[in-house]
Amino acid sequence: MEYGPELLKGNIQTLVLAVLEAGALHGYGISKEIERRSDDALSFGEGTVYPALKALEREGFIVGTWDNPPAGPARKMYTLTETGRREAARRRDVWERFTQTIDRVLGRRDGKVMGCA
Amino acid sequence: MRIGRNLEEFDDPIELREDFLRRLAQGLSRNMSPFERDDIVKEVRTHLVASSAAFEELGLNSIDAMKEAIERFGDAERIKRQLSEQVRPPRPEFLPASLSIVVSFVIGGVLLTLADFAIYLTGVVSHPSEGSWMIGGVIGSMVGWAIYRRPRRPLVSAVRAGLIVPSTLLVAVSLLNGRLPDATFATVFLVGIGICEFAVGFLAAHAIHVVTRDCHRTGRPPAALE
Repeated sequence: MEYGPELLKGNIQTLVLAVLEAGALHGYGISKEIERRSDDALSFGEGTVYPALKALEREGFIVGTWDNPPAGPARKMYTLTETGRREAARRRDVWERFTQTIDRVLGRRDGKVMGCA
Repeated sequence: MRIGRNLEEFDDPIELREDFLRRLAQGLSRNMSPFERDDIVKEVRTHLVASSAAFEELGLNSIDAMKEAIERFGDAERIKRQLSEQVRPPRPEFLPASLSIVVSFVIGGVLLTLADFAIYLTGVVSHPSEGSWMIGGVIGSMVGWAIYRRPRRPLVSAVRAGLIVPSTLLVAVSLLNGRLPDATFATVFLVGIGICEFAVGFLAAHAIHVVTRDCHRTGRPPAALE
C-alpha cells in the first residue's frame, strides 16, 4: 500500500531525523533507507529529502560535511547533532501521542476497531 | 512538472544530467549565496550519479538509467521552490515594521512639540525649543520599533530594568543637585529619558535575542564568537 504526498506532508523531516539516528548518511542513502524501512510504501520523490535536509541543517539539528572517498564521487554526509537527537526523540513522542489520539477518535485500540468482532 | 527539455530529446546521460542541474541552479533563489547554490547542485549531481548507477545495475542502459533517476528525483519545480523559500527574506515583515517606525516618528514628533509648547506656555522656559519635533520623532520611532518587535522574554525585562533604573536615579540625583531647574522640567526630562531607555532596552534585548537564539537550539556559541 502506498500513501499519498498529503499524508507525508510535514513528516519528511521527522523521517529524516529518524533515519539519521542510526548513523551518518547522504541524501540518496536517506531516501533509499526511508523506502527500505517502509517496504516501499512511502512513495515520494527522492529530491523531497533535500529541502528537508536544508531546513534541518539551518535549524542546527543536523550537520552536513563533504566526504571524499578514495573511490567514487564526493558525497555530503549528514550527521545528527545532540540537539537533533533530542529533536528526533521529541518528534517521535509527539507522533506517538498524535496517532494514539487519532486511534481514539477512530474508535481503535491495539489496531482493532472497538466494538467489532 | 519537470524542468529542462523533454527527457526523450537526450541521448547522452551526462548532457541530460547537466541540463537538469543547470536549470535547477537557475531556478534557485538569488538570495542563496553562490556557495549554497553550488553545494546543492553538487549534492543533487551526486544523488543522480548514485541513483542512475543503481538503475544500471538493474539492467537499464546509461541514458535510460539517468532518465529514470531524474524521474525518481521528483517534481524539481516544487523542490527548488521549497529550497528557495527557506532563504527568502522576511519581506512581509518589512512593510509593517517600516510603517510602525514612520507612524511613531510622526506621533512622537507631534507629541514632543506639543509638550514643548505647553511648557513654553507655562512660562518655565522663555521660548519653545528648536528641533523638539526631531527629538520626539527619533524617540517615537524607537518606541515604534520596540512595540513592533514585542519580545516577550525575561531577558527583556531584565535589560529594561537595568537601563531604566540607573537613568531614573541619575535624573533624581541631578534634580537634587540643582542641575535641573524644577520638578516640572525634571518630570518631562524623566518621562522622555524613560521612553528612550525603554526603547533602547527593547532594542538591546532584541539584539541579544537575535545573537543567541540559535545557541539555545544548537548548544553552540554564537556564530560571531566561533
